[in-house]
Order: sequence, then structure tokens, then C-alpha cells
Amino acid sequence: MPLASAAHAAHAVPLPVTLLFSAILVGLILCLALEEKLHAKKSLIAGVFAVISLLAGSAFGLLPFGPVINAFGEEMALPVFIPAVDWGVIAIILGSSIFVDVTSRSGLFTWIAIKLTKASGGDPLKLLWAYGGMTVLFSAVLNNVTAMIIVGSLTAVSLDRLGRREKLLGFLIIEGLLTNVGGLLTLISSVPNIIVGTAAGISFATFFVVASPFVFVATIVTLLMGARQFDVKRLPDDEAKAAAAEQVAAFDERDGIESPGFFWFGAGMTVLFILTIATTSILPWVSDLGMGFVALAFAVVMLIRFKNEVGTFYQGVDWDLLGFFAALFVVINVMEHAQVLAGLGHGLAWLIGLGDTAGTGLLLLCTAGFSSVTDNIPLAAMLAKILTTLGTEGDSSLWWAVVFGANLGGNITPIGSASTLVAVTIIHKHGLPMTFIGFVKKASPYAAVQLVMAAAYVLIFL
Amino acid sequence: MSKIDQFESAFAAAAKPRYRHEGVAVAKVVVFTDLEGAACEAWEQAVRAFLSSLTTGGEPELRLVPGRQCDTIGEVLAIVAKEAPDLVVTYRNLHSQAWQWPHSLSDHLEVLTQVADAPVLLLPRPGPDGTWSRAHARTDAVMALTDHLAGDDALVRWAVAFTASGGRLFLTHVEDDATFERYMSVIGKIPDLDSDIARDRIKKQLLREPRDYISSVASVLESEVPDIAVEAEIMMGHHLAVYRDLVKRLDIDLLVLHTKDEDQLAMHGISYPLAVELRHVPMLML
Repeated sequence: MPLASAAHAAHAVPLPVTLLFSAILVGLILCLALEEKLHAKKSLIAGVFAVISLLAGSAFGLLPFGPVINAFGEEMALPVFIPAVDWGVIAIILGSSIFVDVTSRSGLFTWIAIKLTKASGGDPLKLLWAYGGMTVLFSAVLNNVTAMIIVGSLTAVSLDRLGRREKLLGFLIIEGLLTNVGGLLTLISSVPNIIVGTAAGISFATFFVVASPFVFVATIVTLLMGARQFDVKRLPDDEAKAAAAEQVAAFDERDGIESPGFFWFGAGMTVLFILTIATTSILPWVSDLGMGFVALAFAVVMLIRFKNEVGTFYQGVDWDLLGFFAALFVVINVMEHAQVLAGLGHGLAWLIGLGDTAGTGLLLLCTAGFSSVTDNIPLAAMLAKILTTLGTEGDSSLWWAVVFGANLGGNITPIGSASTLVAVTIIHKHGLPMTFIGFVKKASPYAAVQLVMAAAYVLIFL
Repeated sequence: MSKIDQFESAFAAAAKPRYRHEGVAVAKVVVFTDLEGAACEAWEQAVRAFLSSLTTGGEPELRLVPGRQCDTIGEVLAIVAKEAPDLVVTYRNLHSQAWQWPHSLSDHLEVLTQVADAPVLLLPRPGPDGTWSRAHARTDAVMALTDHLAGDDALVRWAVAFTASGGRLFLTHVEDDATFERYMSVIGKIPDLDSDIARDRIKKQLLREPRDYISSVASVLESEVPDIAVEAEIMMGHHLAVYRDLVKRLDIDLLVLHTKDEDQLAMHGISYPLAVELRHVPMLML
């Protein structure tokens, strides 16, 4: 951390005070779980709890007020909540979000999506595999919410065109589940990956090498199960195949391309972005600046194309998500000073102490269980902080237990991850019935299989 | 979740209606006239000459119904029901003296165009001797017109069938600017909508859909009916004024248009005034 508090000495905190702050943390988690019921945005919920935490922290004398020392060894006067935020994570999310948004204006993602649709010839089963693969790929390269939006929207339009609306529900559920599988593929595919990977010091390349075999197998298993459950089959005869092929042939993949030059520039920059992110840790000059710098730099380069209308893209940034992170980091930082994380760390240490197999396996399942009912981001942030505090080695399988649990837990309920929530939103938008329990009934067999596979993978191979 | 809409719109826009060519079958034609005797025969010859451009694979059977057999609307409809023709041919102001005052089509035609399942070819009224004041021997320039061209394969197929070999087929789409301005004025009063962006994007999209469809028609006909040239006329404007101008400027021999309206019993909005005003131009009314 470049900024360090000059008065950061650990101090004893009375138990009642720690319990009070624990209650505040539980309140935050409950409110986030009930976000839909409260009709309040995440950033506001976390912001309210950040304000309460800071006020309480100040009242009990827990916060390390005073100047901070920057990377140059200079003392600086900064509000106590500024150094509490992990700006590296914020920079990665902000930069990649703008980069993806600008690149999507080149028509690249819609081009890929339509090309794959046409390649399927409109055959439902081929379409399911094509969209499933695309969901995983887009979740990995972009992020799982954007992937769900792109693939889900195309699914609705193409199945409507093919006269197969009855398959829409199945397709959307499978795609929603695959976003969380694809979200495991790279370090930047999901926010828990970024938080845990950054805390553990896992490089992009290492993350990919470790996660990709699991993602590959889990994708195939999910698609096989999905095709069976939702009765997605090949077209029966040549006549049906010809009719379907004609329907999908009417899609024009070039329709969204306003400028061929910008299209190719967008394609080139996307490849370069992935390569640079993948090699950030070994690139001279860049390695010290980090992935946040890479993401922001690529966003700036892409914005040059729209230099007169950059405001449109700034408006498109998910400020709710960024505000949520900033507030969340502040809350977690206060919890650290209130010794709440230390208390949770004792519990986690007990869990880990059950042994390599039981401890790691239980950590994965507990993480999945918690992230199925509440936001996996605060959970990942908290666990990452606790594992760091416990001095966990970067190559420990415990980090992976958190990563797999936090991502796959999102497949148990519709509120478990932002991308499954998007899937349910698209389902409702098209007038299809889907309740919370209905989703759980349909999705839990997939989640169970994926979690068993993940536990086996982590325990056997990592 | 506005991004869901954004991407759904992008994909919906990319799914374009594509023209599928099929020939139209015209085996039987019923020709109504209020003429008798030699004038009736001359009219039959004029019709045969006009239909010679029709490319429907073989000469159709012509059933001429002279004046005394179709005095009333009921008789006309009964003949159409009995014969079940593929095409009905007649002219403006059938069984009516109103042709002297060019402000209507005649009762017979107004009912016929709405009731008959077959298209009605409406020719200019012949002189008392059964001939036209202007010779329409060939349909070298045919214009299909609509305010909703994209995906209207039937309209295009009929227009293609009537275009003479070596002729030009004009596919037109005119977006009514008065309606457009009315919506723009409403959008201008909604603070949440950027009126400049709305104007630009909606206009582009309105004109883009028929353009894409016409490209698809041209591309299909290039291989299937290579001896006709397809040209596009797509613009904003006042329907009647634009069509009147186009017909004159392009020297159109036949207009092809819809007359039936799913929402009403009367003739489709633009077809009635066009049929009345452009009384010297043959029209195929679907």
C-alpha cells in the first residue's frame, strides 16, 4: 500500500465495542441481501454503513487519525477514509468498464455474437453450445454482467426470430449459470477474482492456467445438463434445418459497425488489452504501475476515438458499483481497527485448522453458501483481508477455495451474483414466470454439481 | 438495465427482413367494363396488350364481362366470387358518369377493391371507342410504393411480375414528414429525451430499414430476374406530393400499392387519393 498511516499501531479493543461493530457489519450484510426489498442501491447501503462505522470508530477512538506517508516518504494530510480504499481495485474496474463500453461501440461484440449465431445455422442445440461458449468467453474477457447482457439480449432476439420462444427460459438460465463459470477464467473476469487475486499476489497468467481446466470441464457439464433438462435438441430434418438457417442468415453482423477502421482498431485493442493485462507482472515499467494503470490507460486510448463525447461514457460507468466498493473498503477498514476481522479470523483459523482437506473444502462450501444469499464482493473482500492477516501464502489452495466458492455460490440463488440477477431481469422482461424459489429449484442441481467439481479440483490439484 | 435494451435494439436492428422471390401465378383474369360491342372488343385488346408484359409463365385466360352483365355492385361481386380470378382488371369510374368530374373512383370500384381477394388492376378510363388516350403498351417503369416497404414481399413480387423485360422497377418508401414532425414535437417536450439525438437516430432508422430491404430485393433479383433493374426511392416528405412528383419525373407506367387496411373497411389511406389524382396512370391495387 503506497499510503501508510503514521499512527497505525494495533491497539486493544474492548469486547463490547468489537461486538457493536460486528453488529454493524451483520447489518450491512443483511441490508445488501435485502437490497431488492429495500429498493436501495448498493452504494447507498454501503455508504450509510460507512458513515455509521466512521462515526462510531471516531467516537470510540479506533481510527488512526493523523498524517499519512506517501510513496515518496512525504507526510500528507488525508481524510482517514481515503487510504482505507483499495484504489488499485477501483482503477481496474473503472478502466476495464470504460474500455469495454467504448469497444462495444465498435460493433465488435455484436459482430462476434451474430457470427456465432449464423455459424449455428439456427439449430437449437448448436445455438445452446455456441451461446454457452460465448457466455463463458465474454464473461472471462469482459465481465460477467456485460456478458449476460450481450448474450441474453441476442438469445431473446434470435429465439424469437426462430420461433422458439419456449426455449428462452432454459437458454437464459443456462447462460446465467455459465457467467459465473466463465467469471472464474481470468483474474479480471469478476470482482472477487480481482480482490482475492490482488490480495494473494496471483498473476493473471497463473490465474488463467489454474482456473481454465476447471472452467472448460464445468462448461461442458453445465451445457450437457442444460440441454437435457430443457429438452434442447437438434433439428429433426433437412427442411427444418434449411428454414432455421434462412432465419439466422437474415442477421447482418455488420449492422452495428459504423466504421470498419474503428472496428479493427477495437479488435486489435481488445487483444492487446488481454495480452497486456496477462503480462502486467513481467512488463518493464508497467509492472510497478499495476493492472489498474493498464485498464485506465487502455480506456483513455479508446476514448480518443470519441473525444468530443467522452461524457456519454462517463455517464455509462456503473458509479453505483464503484461507490459501493469505496464505501465497502471503508467499512472493512474500520472493522479491522475494531478487531472484528481478527475475531472472524479466529473462526476462519479454526476452520482451516480442520485440515487441508476438510478445512479447504469447508471454506469453499461456506463461501459459496454465504455468497448465494449476499453479495460475494464484501465476502471476498473480508475473506481476502482475513487470509492476508493470517499470513496465508500466495500459493495456498485457501485463496482458490474463496475464489471458486465466491463465484459459484452465485449460481445457487438469483441474487447470488449480479449476472444471474441480469438473467432473471431479462427473463421477466420477456414475460416469463420465474420466482426466487423457481430459480433455486432449477439452478441448484447445476450449482451442486459445479461446487462438488470445484471442491474436488481444489483439493486434488491445487 | 438500459444496457439490456441497448443490446436488444442492436440485435433486433441487425435482424433484417430478407426478400424471398417467388413468381406470382395469374391463370385467370376477369375484365370488367361498362362498354359494349366494338368498344368492348377494343378495350379487350388494350388489356391484352397491357398484360403482355406480365411474366407469370404463360398467357392467362381472359374472361371479359361487358357492361350489361355487371350493372350493379352485387353483380360484380358475384362474378368475382364465382370466377375466383387471380387478377381483376377494370378502370376508374366503372358504371359511373363521375369521370367527367375527377374526384372519385365510382361505387363499384371502391367496394370491389376491398372485397376481392385478387389484386385489382385499375387502368385509366378508355375513350368511348374502348381505346386509351395514351398508349400503355409496355410497363417499362413500374413503381411499388408503400409507407412500410420492409418485408413486404408480396408487393414486390407483383411489381416484378408486371415489369417488362429490360424495364426498371422502382421501390419507393416515403416517410410522412408531418407525422414525423408531430412526434418530434412531442419528444421535444419530454425533458428525459434528447430531441436532437432522437431526431437524428429515428430518421436514420426509419429510412435505413427500407434501404436494407431494397438492397436485399436488388441482390435477389440480380440473380433471379436479371433482366430488370431495381432502383430505390427512399425519402421523407408528404406522401401524395412526393408520389405525384415521382410518377411524373420517372414516367411511371404502373403503380403497385396496397389498398386493403387491416384496421378499417375503407381503402388504405394513401391509395384512394392516389387513385383519384393520378387517374392517367395504371395502378395495381393489392
